[in-house]
Amino acid sequence: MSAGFDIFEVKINYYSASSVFVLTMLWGFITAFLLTTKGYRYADFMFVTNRLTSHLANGLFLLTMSFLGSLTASLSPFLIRVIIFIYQDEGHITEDFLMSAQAHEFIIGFATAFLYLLVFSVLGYLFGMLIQFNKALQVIIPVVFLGGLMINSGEQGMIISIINFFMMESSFVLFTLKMIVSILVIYLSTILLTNKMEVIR
Amino acid sequence: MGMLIILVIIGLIVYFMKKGIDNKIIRSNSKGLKWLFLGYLSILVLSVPVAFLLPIETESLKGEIAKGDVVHEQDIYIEDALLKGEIEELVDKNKTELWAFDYENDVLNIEQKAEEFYVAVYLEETSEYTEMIEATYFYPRLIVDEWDFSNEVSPIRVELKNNSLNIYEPLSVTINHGEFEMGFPMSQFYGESKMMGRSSSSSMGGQILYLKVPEGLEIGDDTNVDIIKVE
Repeated sequence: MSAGFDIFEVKINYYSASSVFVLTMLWGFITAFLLTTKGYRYADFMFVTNRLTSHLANGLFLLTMSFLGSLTASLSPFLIRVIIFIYQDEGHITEDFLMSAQAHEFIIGFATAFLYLLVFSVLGYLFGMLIQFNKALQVIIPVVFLGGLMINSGEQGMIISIINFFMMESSFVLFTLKMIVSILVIYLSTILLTNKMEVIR
Repeated sequence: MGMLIILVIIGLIVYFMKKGIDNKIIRSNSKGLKWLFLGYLSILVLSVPVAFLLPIETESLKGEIAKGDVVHEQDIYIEDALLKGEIEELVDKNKTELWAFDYENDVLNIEQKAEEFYVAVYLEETSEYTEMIEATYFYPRLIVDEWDFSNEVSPIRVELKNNSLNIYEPLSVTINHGEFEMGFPMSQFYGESKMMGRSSSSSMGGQILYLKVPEGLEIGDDTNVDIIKVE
């Protein structure tokens, strides 16, 4: 951000690790989606016995992956802070949340990151599994999602309302409940929808 | 355009990951990936104590966070007080710069030596001084994004040459400010979430110069500033 008054020029740089976290969520979604591709599914059935155990094994993998992803995303602000120090003048940062934040804030930040990552992972997993039913869905679902964002936009739009339902929640307890229920609903839906699917399809 | 670049990157990631799986590259390189991940994690863990041990001089402006309206309110307050002649009180309460010049002529020109720059000049004729001019400059408030940078502002320059009081614009100043803020998702519960964009605001107060001149001093024709006379 920059503001100029002819004689005075103020340049303000805002740093945060938000983009790292957004990319981690994207990574979670893509990785979960790729779990449902042919290569992984074929490899999967060398070790497990049926569709349900495959889903459970993948579920455990998604949990582990979300844990590691949220751990790296939560630690990234410290690395970014060190990089800024190396590339900017000393004293350039005049406000620094890392120096003032409490331990419990980091713990809640980590837990929140974990839940977000897990919800994106199970969404990617559901999306990938749906595509196994019909390849046309890999075009229809993104079109419906993006179209919904464009046509039914604004604060009252359905997709925005769903996003706000999670992102605008200021109580951590309520947020956790919402997330856990959503994760269970999405994951159980995936299991129920694909339980009768052929092993190799 | 930005969205297109992101979509291309996502497409490439998916393509190469799929290709990697199909060709069993990932499986054959799993040991390498494990070391890569462990190396990255080690760097992240190491950066935690390093970040806390950095000799960072944080000159906090947090206690001085102010709204842009403050600037306008303060300008009105100063103008009212100056017109009432309450200069001493204002000098005590505000950041000022003071100049005093010996002056014996009967005529004084007040000239602004810079274009695209406005300074409000208040003029008080006083019996306190007979052969002296006193100039008091009130530093303007400068607030950007609710951060108060008033202490960084440089003053105007005032010089007396022959029978002319010359006013020069302040020296150009560039202020670099950085803030490492709490990012998403932590900001959802602690502090304001900036995921939906950031609004920005800036405001700066007016340049005010208050002159005390001897009684009966005539203002010359070469004067090119607006003068507000204080009765």
